[in-house]
Amino acid sequence: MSEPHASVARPVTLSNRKPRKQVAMDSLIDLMNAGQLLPGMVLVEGPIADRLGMSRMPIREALKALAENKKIHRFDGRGYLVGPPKKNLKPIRVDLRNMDWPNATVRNQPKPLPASNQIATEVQAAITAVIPFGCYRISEAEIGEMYTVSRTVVREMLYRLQHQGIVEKDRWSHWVAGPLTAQKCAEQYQIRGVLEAEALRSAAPYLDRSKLTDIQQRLVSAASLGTAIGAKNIRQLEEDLHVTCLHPLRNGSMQSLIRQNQLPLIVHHLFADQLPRVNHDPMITEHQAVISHLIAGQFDQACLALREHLQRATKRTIERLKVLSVLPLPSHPIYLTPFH
Amino acid sequence: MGKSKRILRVIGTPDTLIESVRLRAEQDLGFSIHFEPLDGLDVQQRAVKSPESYDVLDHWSVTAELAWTAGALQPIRTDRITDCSELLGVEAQTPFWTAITHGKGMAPGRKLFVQADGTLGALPTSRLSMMPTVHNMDGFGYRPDRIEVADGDESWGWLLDKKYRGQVTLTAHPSIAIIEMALAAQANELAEFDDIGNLTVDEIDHLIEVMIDYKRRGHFAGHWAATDEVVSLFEEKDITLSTIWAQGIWVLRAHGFEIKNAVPKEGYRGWLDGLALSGALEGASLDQAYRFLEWWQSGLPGSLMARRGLYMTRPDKVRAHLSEAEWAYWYAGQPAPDVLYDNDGNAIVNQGQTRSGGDYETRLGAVAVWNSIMNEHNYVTRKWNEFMVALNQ
Repeated sequence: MSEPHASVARPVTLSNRKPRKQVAMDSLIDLMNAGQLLPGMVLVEGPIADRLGMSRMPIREALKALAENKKIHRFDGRGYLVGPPKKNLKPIRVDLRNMDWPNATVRNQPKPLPASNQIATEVQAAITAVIPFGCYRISEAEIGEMYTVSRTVVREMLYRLQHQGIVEKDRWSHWVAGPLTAQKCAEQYQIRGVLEAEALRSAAPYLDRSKLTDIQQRLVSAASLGTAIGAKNIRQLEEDLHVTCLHPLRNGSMQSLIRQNQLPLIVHHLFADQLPRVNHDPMITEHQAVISHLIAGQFDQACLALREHLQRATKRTIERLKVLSVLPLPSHPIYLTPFH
Repeated sequence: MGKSKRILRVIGTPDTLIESVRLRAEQDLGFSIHFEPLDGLDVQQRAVKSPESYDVLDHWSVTAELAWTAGALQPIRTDRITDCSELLGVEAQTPFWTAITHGKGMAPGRKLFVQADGTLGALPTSRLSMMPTVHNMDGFGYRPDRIEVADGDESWGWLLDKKYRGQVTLTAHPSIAIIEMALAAQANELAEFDDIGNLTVDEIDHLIEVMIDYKRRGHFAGHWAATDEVVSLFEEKDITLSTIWAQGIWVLRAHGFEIKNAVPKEGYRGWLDGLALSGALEGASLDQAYRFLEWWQSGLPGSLMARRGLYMTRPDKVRAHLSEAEWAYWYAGQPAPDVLYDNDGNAIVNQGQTRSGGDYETRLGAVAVWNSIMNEHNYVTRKWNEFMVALNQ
């Protein structure tokens, strides 16, 4: 699975260095847009200054400017609340230092991302896309050559993928991946059934309503498209339910475990990419059930609906995995060699 | 009768896409029909990936299952098939219906009806994934001059009996071969399976390991993908026994090989073919396709199939197109009153010969496991390649 926020990470270079107040403002807006800072969360200067490695002055100015723009507002307590003033909005106190800040906002110092991060997403996507089609050997040397990085960097990245259960070492210590089996799909869905339902229970109270209505709208649009829905929309709907809705969860370990078990989603992505006549209505209906309950504040029912969706998705995945057996082997980067 | 300009495009294998069927269908239906016979795996790929390239799919039930999941088919409306309930026999619980909903593996009747949620199941509805046609119960073929055995003592285990090293051939189709090899391994106590029609990853690993071990010791003389390739193997190599599809027995006999069709004590491997409608089909072409489907149930195609050793739904209608002698041998399990010929005029049954395994109903009832797309089908096909590329020593 790709890191959900990898797309918002962008290295800051010396040439585009901005005033500190602006960096702080952008950072906070990024966090709001990414759904990490939710309406009602309390913002105080100290932790933000620590997290951004700045003095308090530019933070104070940034908060003041954001309040003028109605992005945040003063309240009875110390600091500001995220969002415009609203009746009955209760302050939510969280330790901003412990939040999973997007990389670009972690520090104000211009520092390029580690090379392994930059290539990891690409390599991970390439491996994930082929493992339903068999066993592949992975060449450290070829990856290094392709990306012009050292073997150490490649190895570090592959060890991370090993930790995520995507690659492993065979008895001769070669890196290998695949094949994705029905058994593995069933196991991962079972784990997700437990974890995602629990994660949604914790995250649900902090979900932004407008974000949920956006998701609902996307589901309605997707349903109207029928079989013309397309792979991009399918990916977006999966991201909406299985990443965005769980995002307010402040349990990094659980989030990481969930991501490690979302490997079988590749089966549905491949289906959407290669078999345009497939009917995705059941999946859309199941997603709609979860989102409707969330919007209505029926969190227990939403969790139940999510579990039911994952149970049905298990069966769908196993049926679809069978079909992949007759599709031709996909093209793959030079560092992957199919061996069965 | 003038022919319509529309050509009905049918894909399938040479086993059912035969010229005599095509010509008779064109004559009876009044429109042109194009048969495109392909290798079984190619049919599956086309069925799943390119529904625009065919109108009717004539293939294995497991192919219809895959194509259905891929969204490549449209449901067959039972109200557009005359006497559909008699054909399936659900209400009457005919031996055919009972058989295709029982046995190990994914019995084809369990994936026949389109359910309310769009998946396939056994609960009868007004929509079918495919219309069942020919079917059979396969064992394996062997040379009776080399293996002498009392009736009722034939076993799948012979396929992995070291006595026949270098004299055994197998089909190259993984979904079929894996079941036959599982039956053979179990009979020889080389492996045990919870559900022989739905193996687990560990069971598949173990079975493939056993098979590779046999292969390295030179046990298998070759692999075949279609019936004509079995004939070539028998002609070129010294074969004692081979997994075989029912029609292959009579094709081999037509080529002069004395082959016995085994009735394995562990039970048969059953299979069912059917006709399915491309999801891209509509309008007048769809009407033509429905007429073709109905024509298949008229009895005459079933008689052409019977002379190839295959059974057909609605045997009552088939009987009207067979001679008494043919019915006695092919369906009733009685000694042939006369010499019997295939559709090309080759003598394939001697007077007095009896079809092994008894009459139609007895043979249907002896199916142990049906051709299945296992849950781990994708894994089976990858592991099967490992077996196929392993070297003989």
